[in-house]
Amino acid sequence: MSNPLLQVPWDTCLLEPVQDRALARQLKREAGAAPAWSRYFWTSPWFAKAAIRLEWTNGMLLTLDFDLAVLISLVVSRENSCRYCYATVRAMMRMLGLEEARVQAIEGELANGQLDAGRDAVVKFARAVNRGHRLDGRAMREHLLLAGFTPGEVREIAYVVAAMGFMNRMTTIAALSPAAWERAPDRWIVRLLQPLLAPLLKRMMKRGEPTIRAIADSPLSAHLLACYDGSPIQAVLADSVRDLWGSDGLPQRTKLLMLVTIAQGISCGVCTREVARLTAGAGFEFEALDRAAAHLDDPGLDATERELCEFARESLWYEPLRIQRKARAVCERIGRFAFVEALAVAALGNLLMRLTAAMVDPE
Amino acid sequence: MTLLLAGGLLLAIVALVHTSLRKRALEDQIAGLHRELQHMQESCGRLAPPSVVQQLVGDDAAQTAERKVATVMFVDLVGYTELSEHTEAALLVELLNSYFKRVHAAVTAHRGRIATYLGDGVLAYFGASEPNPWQCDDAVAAALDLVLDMQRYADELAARDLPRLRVGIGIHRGSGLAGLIGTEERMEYAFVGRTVNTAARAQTLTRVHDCAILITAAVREELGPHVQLRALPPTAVKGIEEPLATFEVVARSHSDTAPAA
Repeated sequence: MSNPLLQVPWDTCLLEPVQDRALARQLKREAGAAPAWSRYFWTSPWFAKAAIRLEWTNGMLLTLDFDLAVLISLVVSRENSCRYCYATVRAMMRMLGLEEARVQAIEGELANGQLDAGRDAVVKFARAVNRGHRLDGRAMREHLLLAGFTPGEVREIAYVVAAMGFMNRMTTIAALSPAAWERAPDRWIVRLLQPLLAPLLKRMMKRGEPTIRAIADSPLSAHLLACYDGSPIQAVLADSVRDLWGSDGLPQRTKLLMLVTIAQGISCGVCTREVARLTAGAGFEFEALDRAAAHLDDPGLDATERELCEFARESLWYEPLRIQRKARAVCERIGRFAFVEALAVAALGNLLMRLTAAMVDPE
Repeated sequence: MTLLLAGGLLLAIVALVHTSLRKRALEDQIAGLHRELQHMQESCGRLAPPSVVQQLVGDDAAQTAERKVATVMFVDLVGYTELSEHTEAALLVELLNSYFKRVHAAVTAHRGRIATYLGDGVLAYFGASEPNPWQCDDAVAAALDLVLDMQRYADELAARDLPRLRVGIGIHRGSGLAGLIGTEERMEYAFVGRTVNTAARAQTLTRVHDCAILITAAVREELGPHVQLRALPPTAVKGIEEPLATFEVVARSHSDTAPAA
């Protein structure tokens, strides 16, 4: 008995993997890979592509130490009780050459708070971003700077935390089966091949290159994107926002309702103002959406809007089995395609708004 | 020379075996501590929210306490004292357990947390253990669900010639101190302060106004238009200087029927 999340109740997978060779080739070309997990989301190719590109291992980090990024991934996945991601990160640690005892010792240090000042500050930051409400981003970042991190490292720490939260939501809500990853480190073939897997994995964790691309405007999260000038994170976030808003999988009004709900849920003033701007630009009345999200109910909402507002709210703080059951009900009601789109709005909405709350100071 | 080589080889083998055994013992020790920690966290999880437990394992209890605004719900069984005097023990336990099960289901379905059972009374919080901007809507939705469920249960009891059970529910919202409170021997996650007393007083007023669910003005301010309310005259209650203004929750506007008192 080793992995501490093995006892977390987990539903059977909600989605079927999609077979599409042409899309696989396209994703390899445009996102650099077409991993097996992404096939569950291929009904919305833009979302699958965004999810692959958003992984921090995919050339997102310029300065942050990879070992620290792995530790953050472990902490965030545990905070969110994500069995799938936790098992993946744990298996990665083992494949990189860490003994089971060492992994358990790290888990023990995290649980006991026996950490050096730097790692302690990072863990507290990660927990606050994931659980927080009315975040004081400036104070949280200053705490990291005082612990010895550079501003460049701080923005990458924030990104890894939020991006891991995104992966957690995506895999938990769809209830991707963690079984293979949970068993992987103890399989004889993995143990035998570990010396070969470690360098392979290290090569797959790509260091990013500084960028010069300037983002002129973005439908959402413009302030956040400005925080990532010169980083490859900026372009990936900008493309994800553009595709999220541009996708016609859900009506714009429904997406806005979900985004307002998330902004209200974490009480992020900057996020609320950005969604209000987007709402006005799309020709809707923000006050009506804001009022509906304030109580997750309003005579002006139709049944699907009411259900998806509630779904967006569930995505803020959740227990896996509870949100998986809710997701199943939503999926049965609106169909697989619309469900994956709703999942995309919930997961990306949480990423963008939690990262905004951590990185952007209120005006 | 051969003897020296053999001796060296033997020493090397002994050292290797010794290191290997020590490593194994260390691994077992770490695994044991890990299991112990996990067990402790699981046990604590029944008493406090998992987030608090994880924080507590690293920090001390005082650091987990914080001032919060939460919504407090008090529930109790109408006529319980009389019922308990005229009902045999086994049946009374069955009735109480069925009632507690229903309260638990309604509260947890709407993201509340049962804090404690006080005789036939139940104290529940919404928004005390995790941020919840929708805490008042949740508490009222839980109360409405509970009243409907208790009406169904009362019908079942009536069919068995047993007394119909009904509940009185008081809900108030306000600030208080949330955290693990108690002694080393007995600690529980609690939300303490005037808010809890006011919710209890609102609950006692359900008898005075003969209704099932009463909320205070602080809850009413936070509720959406989808809940139908009826204002009741402010009434003096023990421990609060000003008469307490309350509102009866009549129904949700969508599909519910009015909860009978």
